[in-house]
Amino acid sequence: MRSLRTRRGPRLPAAVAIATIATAAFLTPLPAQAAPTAPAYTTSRYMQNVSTSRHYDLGCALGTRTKNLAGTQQDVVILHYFRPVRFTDGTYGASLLAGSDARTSSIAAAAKEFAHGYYVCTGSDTTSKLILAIGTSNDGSEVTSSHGKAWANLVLSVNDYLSYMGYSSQAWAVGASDVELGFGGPTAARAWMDGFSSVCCPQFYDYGDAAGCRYDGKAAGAECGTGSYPTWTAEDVWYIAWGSPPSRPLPQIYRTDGAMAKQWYGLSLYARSVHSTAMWFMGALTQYNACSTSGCSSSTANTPGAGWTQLWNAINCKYFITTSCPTAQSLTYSTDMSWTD
Amino acid sequence: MEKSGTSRAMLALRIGVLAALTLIGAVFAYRHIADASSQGPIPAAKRDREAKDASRRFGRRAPKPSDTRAPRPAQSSTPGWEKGIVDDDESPSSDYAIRNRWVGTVHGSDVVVFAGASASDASQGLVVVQQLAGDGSASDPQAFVTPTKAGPVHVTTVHGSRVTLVADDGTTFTFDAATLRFD
Repeated sequence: MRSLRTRRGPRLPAAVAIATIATAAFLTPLPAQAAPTAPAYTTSRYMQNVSTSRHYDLGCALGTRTKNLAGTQQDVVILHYFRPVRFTDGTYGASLLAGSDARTSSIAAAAKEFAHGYYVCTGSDTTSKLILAIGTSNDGSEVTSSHGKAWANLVLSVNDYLSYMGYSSQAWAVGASDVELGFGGPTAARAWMDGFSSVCCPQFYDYGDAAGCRYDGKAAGAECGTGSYPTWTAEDVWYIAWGSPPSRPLPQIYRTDGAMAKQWYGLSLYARSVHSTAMWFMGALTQYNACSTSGCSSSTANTPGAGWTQLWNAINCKYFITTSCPTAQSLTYSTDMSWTD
Repeated sequence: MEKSGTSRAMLALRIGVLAALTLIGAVFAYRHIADASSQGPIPAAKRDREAKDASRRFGRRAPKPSDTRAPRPAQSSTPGWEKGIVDDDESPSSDYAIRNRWVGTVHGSDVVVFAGASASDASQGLVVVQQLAGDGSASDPQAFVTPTKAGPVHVTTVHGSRVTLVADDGTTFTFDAATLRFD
């Protein structure tokens, strides 16, 4: 009996221990890992002019700041020119803040000078890079395929210029749009996106929202949308922000309670489960500076660091217990809206 | 017998602990790797688009002036067009590589004549004409190629509606903005 016990006794506890430890290892949430320090944020702007000299100055100011920061910077700036417009001769543009519409050629000329200013004023810093996101929105009646195509051609002309002039090693433009689910419906937004996508080859950043999408840690679905435009689905938001070939998300993370970051986590889960690939986020957009100067609800005044950290925590599964994190990624950019142009 | 049994038990325990540690390590390694790669592959269409966009960036790097104010562009009104010969390479389309432009009045209507070359064939000089409307908007661009391939052209002088252009190889052309023809 004793002999039997000494033979079997230690094996059983060892096996139990192994099984227990292995089970615990699988079931325990990922080891706590604090979010990295948020990167230095850039200032994005609501634009009310297409002055080339003013754009040069703004680009130069950013370039000077970048030059004076240690190391290589990855800068992204959104220049938001407001809603799409169509001129009487059939050409396209954007409304600007003050409502004095600007043609795409004027916006292109201005954007070129922003990039030019950045390139010149980074001076001895030849490794930092700017992504200049030339933005409109899905607001109004001119959110059409033709406008999307015109916007892509605008970006194309800016990049052709940057290449031709020798600035493209440090500055490059992408198309962008503030696609908000309360501005318009999914049909027009998708048509605009398809028009943009039909032009080879500019990239596109969606810096809009995901209003109505769930934020409880589960994959988004048919609940997305707003009272005015309730037909949005997770599939539509996914298509605009990630599914269309040029698209990348750089979402608004305005809310201080983290709900917007969690909404995008839910959309990334949707992307992973339905389309096999989670979204890859470029960074987070906040509006702290704009709120500071013009006011807004304090619940939507995330600081740039807080917004970036919320999005990082959400997509790296720090808010919800998971055994693995199918949406985990690093996060490059942090940018903050300003009314000062 | 008892000594031998204890020794076996110790051996079994050691193997058990070793196996447990190995298993724990494997579990954490798997989870770490899974986290890094579990996003799934970037879709091919997205990769292809990105590669094409990147291929348009030339490696050439422009020299940076020490005086950052030196290259600052002149203040221009918005959204109107500056009159006269304007040294600006703004192009109405990526189909054209523009050197400069002339903006003036022909038969009472404002017109802009861009000068440059085809973006796909730099040896083929051309002008691109747009009629300007009162609200600052422009008509669809119309391109007119130079009679011979002499390289990109730029506007040098204008008399009335006659625009004189010089190509990179020195060839001179005259384009009439009223008749929309080269002499």
